[in-house]
Amino acid sequence: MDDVLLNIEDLHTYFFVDDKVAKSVRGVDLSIGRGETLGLVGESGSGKSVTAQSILRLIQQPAGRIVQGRIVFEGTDLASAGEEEMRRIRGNRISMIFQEPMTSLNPVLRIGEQIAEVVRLHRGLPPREALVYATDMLAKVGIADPARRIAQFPHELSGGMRQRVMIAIALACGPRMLIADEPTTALDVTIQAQILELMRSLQRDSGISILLITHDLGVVAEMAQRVAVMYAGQIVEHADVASLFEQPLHPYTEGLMASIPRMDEPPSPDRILPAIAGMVPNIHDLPAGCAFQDRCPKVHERCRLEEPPLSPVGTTHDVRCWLHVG
Amino acid sequence: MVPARVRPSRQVWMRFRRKKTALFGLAGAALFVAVAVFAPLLAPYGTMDMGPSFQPPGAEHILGTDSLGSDVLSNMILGTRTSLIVGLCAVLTSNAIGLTVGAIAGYFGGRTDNILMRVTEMFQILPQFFLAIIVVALFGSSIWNIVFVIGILTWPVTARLLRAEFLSLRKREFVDAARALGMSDFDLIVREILPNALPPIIVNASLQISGAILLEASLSFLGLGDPEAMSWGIMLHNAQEYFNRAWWMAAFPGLALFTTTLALNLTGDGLNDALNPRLRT
Repeated sequence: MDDVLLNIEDLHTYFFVDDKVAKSVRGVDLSIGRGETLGLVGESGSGKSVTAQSILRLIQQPAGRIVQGRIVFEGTDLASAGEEEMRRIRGNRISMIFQEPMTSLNPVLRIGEQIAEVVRLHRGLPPREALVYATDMLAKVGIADPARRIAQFPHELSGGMRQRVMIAIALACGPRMLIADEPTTALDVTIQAQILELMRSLQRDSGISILLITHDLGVVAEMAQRVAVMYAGQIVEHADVASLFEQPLHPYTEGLMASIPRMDEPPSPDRILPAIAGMVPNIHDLPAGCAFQDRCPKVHERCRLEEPPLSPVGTTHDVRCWLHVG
Repeated sequence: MVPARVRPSRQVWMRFRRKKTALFGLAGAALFVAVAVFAPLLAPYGTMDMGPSFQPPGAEHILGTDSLGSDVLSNMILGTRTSLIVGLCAVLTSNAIGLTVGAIAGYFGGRTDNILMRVTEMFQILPQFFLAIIVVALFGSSIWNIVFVIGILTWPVTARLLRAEFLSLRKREFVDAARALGMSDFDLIVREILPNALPPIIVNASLQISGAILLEASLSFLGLGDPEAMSWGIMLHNAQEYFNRAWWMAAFPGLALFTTTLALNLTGDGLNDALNPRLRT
């Protein structure tokens, strides 16, 4: 990627609760090119959402804090930018859509108003023009009869339609980057496919970059060019989609792949889907060495002593595992 | 389930009118407001039209005359206006303070909340009549001072109510989503959260109006009222000495006070049922 839009360097985001420190993100490096889709994969508590929230500086205050690292977006370091500057960037240069379209819309405001208010905020359009613009945006995200829909309230719309509205709001100001935090997890499979297709076609038209956060490897395979797998606040594997699916290197990634039901093997009644044993380690109390050691089927002496670095294996593939270091 | 294509305001009305007592209350409240607005046109006599004193209810003076010989019905009608003004203005004052404090405390939480809530509690423990007497003694007894006193005494309830709503609403996902769109704290409080917190505030305000009217009457009854403005409390105050002689002087203003507060409370109850999301089907 020669044309980088966002570059995260050595990001550490910690939460300070009582006397404890939860190191949710521990040294993440990521970059997203213009027009690229990067998949960020991991299970709950792996730090993928906190990474996304760090970009927009929406970490829960006052407990959460970016303690180290830079997040450079179009020449600005978001990790140290002022709150006012962040407000100009949020929803305008970088937008975010959330997992639950049911609860992400304000229940007492009309759909049109919710799109119009962000356009008024960032573009300074007068109310009437903003509403016309809102109608156009609804048409753009594939909502039929937009002139009628703008006068409706969120509870009058289906889940898929609400997610379309969320996308319309997110894209209303023409941002350069979209952070999609589990955008389809709460939707039916058929609606999921429609929403993903919509995101792809909008990306083709606008050249927007997408950071796609998900735990669904299927969604990643369909949408992303590159994938970063997160575990316990670190990136454990980082590769282009093709190499990751062809040859997952980290035992955690292998485990994730193995736990997906396969269409090319007939299911038998006694076949049990492999799962990764154990639980995500407590981020208050990480073991010395590799964070995955207690769940890893290939654990050995060194894993318990030293933490492996993220090291390149080939040109587009990095992995944080002693098995693949020199 | 209410049909989906109906406007929310209309849905509220549809639920409101299901209850007969609520409709009865609303009719009473509407009558009260109408009488207050058109008071000078409706009153058969002016305040300065003195006739014979202590006339019992009869053809000339439907509800009799008082110790000074002025018409009880006319005074009651003019007193309606005072009650409405005091009720509305006191509630506006109380809500202006209460909503600001409650929103800030509930939205920011933590230390801000702690400090504001302690201040609120200080106002809650103020003895009502003591404060009223001090204000009237210092600034004189105009209805604006009474409005001020009632506002100062009642805002803590509004503040606590709104704070509770904000505490739960600020954690909702749509607030995070709006923040992610670049909205400031002020936008989030006023545009995103407040509209969601309004139903209990509206219900509370409708109940507060009757509370304010009663409080004004109590103060006036104790002689702390505005002598310039005719009010039900002042009429009751004047009637004290003549209970045995002229029962009508006390009975009719008392009845007006009773029915007005009843009507306003029934309206508030009805609004509560219509607006309370937990009772919706």
